[in-house]
This record gives sequence, structure tokens and C-alpha cells, in this order.
Amino acid sequence: MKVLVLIFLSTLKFEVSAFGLYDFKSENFTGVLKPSININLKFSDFRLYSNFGLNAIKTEDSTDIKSRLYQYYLKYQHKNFEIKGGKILFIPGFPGLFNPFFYPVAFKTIETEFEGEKGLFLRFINDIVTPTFFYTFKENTYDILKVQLSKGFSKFEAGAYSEIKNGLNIGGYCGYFGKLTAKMQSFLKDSLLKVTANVEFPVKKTLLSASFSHSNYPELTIIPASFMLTKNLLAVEIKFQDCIFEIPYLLCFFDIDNDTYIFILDYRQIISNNVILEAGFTLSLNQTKTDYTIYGGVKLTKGF
Amino acid sequence: MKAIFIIMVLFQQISPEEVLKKLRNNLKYNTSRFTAEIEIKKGKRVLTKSFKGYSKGENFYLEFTNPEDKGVKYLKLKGNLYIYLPDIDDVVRLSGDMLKQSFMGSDLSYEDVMQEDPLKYYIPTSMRDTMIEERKYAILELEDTTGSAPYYKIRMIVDLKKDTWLKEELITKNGRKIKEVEAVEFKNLKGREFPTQIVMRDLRLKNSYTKFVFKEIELDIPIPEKYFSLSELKK
Repeated sequence: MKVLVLIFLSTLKFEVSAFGLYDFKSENFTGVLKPSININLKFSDFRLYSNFGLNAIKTEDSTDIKSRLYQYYLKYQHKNFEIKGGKILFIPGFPGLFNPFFYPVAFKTIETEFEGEKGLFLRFINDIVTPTFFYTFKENTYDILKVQLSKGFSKFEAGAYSEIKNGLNIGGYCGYFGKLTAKMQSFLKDSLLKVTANVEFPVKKTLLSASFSHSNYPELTIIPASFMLTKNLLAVEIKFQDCIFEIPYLLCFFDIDNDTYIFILDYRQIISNNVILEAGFTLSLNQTKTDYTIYGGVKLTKGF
Repeated sequence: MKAIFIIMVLFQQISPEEVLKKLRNNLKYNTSRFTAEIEIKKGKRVLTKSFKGYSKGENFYLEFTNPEDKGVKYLKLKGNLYIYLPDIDDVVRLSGDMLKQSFMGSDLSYEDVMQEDPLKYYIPTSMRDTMIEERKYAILELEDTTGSAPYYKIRMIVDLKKDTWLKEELITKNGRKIKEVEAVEFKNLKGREFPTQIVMRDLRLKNSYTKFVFKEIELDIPIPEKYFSLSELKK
């Protein structure tokens, strides 16, 4: 009977994404094939979650096939108390472009998978303040204790974040959620400072978002087929909220220090609950060079 | 004597204000528990999602149950919208204005789906009788007086015997009819006729509709407070 209950409360999802990218400047093609399995078992206050698969990358010179364990954890949650252990994904502050506490992937395609860190996670949701502790341990490197304190108000949300290893790295964030959304986040890590700001508001049937990132060191921002290494970066995002079957998306970057513009035009087509197609185009422009890439792929999902 | 008779007849005639009041009372509820399905059709393609949910006053909790989206949850709490994403096992807060956006890309907004009293913004401007399949109905026209309603004007066909509407036409301020909503199935819930299958058509799009089907629905029942909390959303 318990087995039946467990099966009833679980989700099993198979996904396969096939993705290709062609860089016209270097005339390089990269292909990615990524089958993965997502298991989510719930029983009483416990949850077992895992997301794993194979990652095959083919370039003109090489083929690389690796098995990947993106996330796995056992979670226990009773009322407001939550504890989990395993390989866990924790995004402090507000997720989105230029999050100073999280890794620098600025744009997700259908084949992007987030990978967690091994550790122990504790959270207590509280009206006064919600503390989160995440102790991560990696081989051949320092263990890090990440601590976040967050507080939600009716239209505001604010928090403090710190990473403790040899020394103390601190940051903070605050956001306003009203007719428009405005967010600010900052992080001082080993005397490297990053400050980001974002404003998001609806304009007719689109959601317009402007983000700015400033750091006192060259910061890496990754997008498909390219990256930006700069101190000052401006981004404008246009999302079309009413689209479901055909989802166009536009993201423009202005690298202020290097006087470079990068445009991403992404288009997703939802064929059904199980099939999503994606195609995109990136264009990088500055005074001396122009570079462009095309990419596209398909993601198949079957859930039970 | 004749004048008295006319006055009596006039008093027997139900006023548009009274019709609107009865409609609102019939559709109004404090709490609900439901399982539902939404079917979105555009051209030849059809997308179907299923979900279950609870509402209490202006707050609601929604959990997707179709295998591909299973575990995605929404919570409207104190004017804010929160979404739980199982892939990152965390809650993302969205602006309250997102409630006006399309629900899963359909012709309905989150507010349309969860509104406990959608006609509260309107006052009646006219009412006349009409006959459909040899039955008498009323055509009631309403206008937004608050500036907060998603549509400036509504023209609806009302069943006066059941205090419910059969069809609505949603009209912009410049008089353009943009959407049609048809209640195709009703269920008797505690003595009131409640629409449980609604088809909405955006008249600006060809061959498109959104069908919203309540598979099960219970109104004005006790709903545990725990559903309207962030900790339940993460569970």
C-alpha cells in the first residue's frame, strides 16, 4: 500500500534535448545531445529529488560524452522548517539576469541545466525573518557556509547574504513589487564588488525589463556561443506575456567598457506539452568586428 | 385605477440593478476547492493543462497536475503572486501586476480565473428581453465605473429564472467587441446554478478558443489556512 502511495505522489520525467549552434566567424559547429531523467518522490514530509543524465558534446575536433548528476537531495519539511542534504541548487537573492550571488549564465536555452552543489541546507520560514543556511563541501577546496536572511513586506522584500570561508563576504538585496518591479542586489567578495539593478514593467502585451550591472573588476557573463568580460553592462529584455505556442524573446546587451552590442533573438514554439522547438540568433557588434551565430534544437519531454 | 395598475406592473418588473445583484450573489463565493482543466486551441494546435486549487477571499493556491508541469504551483497572497518551480526547489515572487497577464497563455488572466466577484466593477446601463429557442431571457448591458475592470463594457444574456448568465460579450471603450464567453455547462451547487464549463473566444484571433472546465468544484467550504502560506508552496 505504501509503495502505491509513493508511486501516486511521485513524478517521473524523461527529457531529451538535441541542440546545435553554428558560429559564422570561426565556422565552428557545436552539437549537444542531452538525455536526462527527473525523479521526484514525495512521501509524507519527505521528498527525494534527483535530476541526472548524459551530456554528449560534439565539436568538429572532438566528441565528449559524460554522465551528469545535476541535482539530488533528500528533503524533510515539517511546517516552516526545511532540511535537505545532497547536491542542492540554491540561488540567493532574486533569480534573473546578473544575480551577483549566482553563476553568470545570463540566458537559458532549452538545453541549459542548473547544477547544484554538495551540501546541507537548512531553512526556517518565519514572519519576522527567514534564515537560510547552506553548508557546501567540495573536494580539494574550502568548505563554504552560505547564510541568507530575508524578510518580506506587502510590496517589498529585502535580505542579507553572506559567504563564510576564510573570511566573510557579504551582500544585500531589496526589491519593490508593485505596478512595476524594481530590484537591487550587491555582493562584496574578496574586495571585489558587484552591484546590479533591475526594473521590470508591463507595456501593453509585453514585459519590458532593464538591468544594469557594475563591478570593480571584469566580470564574466555567459550567453549562447559567447561571453562578456566587462565592468559595466546594460541589458534590455522584452518578453511577450500572452504568447504560449510561439514565444519570441529579445535580449540586448550593451557592454559599456568595450563599446560592444550583443543581441539575442530567441523563438520557442510549443508543439505540445511534450515537444518544444527553439531557434535563435545572436549578433555581436563593435567598431572593429561583427560576429553572429545561429542555434536551434528540440526538447522532448514525457512525464508520468 | 389604471395608473395604480401600471405602477403595480412596473414594480413587478425586476430592475437591471436587481438582476445584477442576483447574478453577483449567485456567482460570489468566499472559498472554493476545485480540480480543473484548461484547453487552449490556436489553429490546429491544442494544449491541455490540468490543475487543482483552493481559494479563500482574494487569495488562491494552484498546483499543476499534468505530468509535464506537475509540481509547478502558484500562490496569490496579500496581493502578490508567488510561483514555486520544482527544478530549483524555490519560490519566486512576481509583481502583483502579473495577475493581469494571461493564464498559461490562454485568453483568461489569473484574475479572471480566480476572481471571487468579477462583476463588482460594473453598473447596469440597459436591459431588454430576448427570445432564444422559445424561452425568454434578458440582455443586460454593464459598464465599468471604477476604471479597474479588464473590460469597459459587458453585454450578457441572462437567465432570470436561474440568476446566471449564458453568454457574455466583452467590449472595449471604443465599442469594439473583442471577446465572447459562453457558459456551456452548469452545476447546481448548494441551490445555485454555477458555470462549470466556460469557452472564451478572442475575436481578434482566427480558429482559437480557451475552454476552462471545472472537473470538480466545491464552494463555501472550510479550507485549511495552510494552503495560503509560502511553506505549503515549497512542500
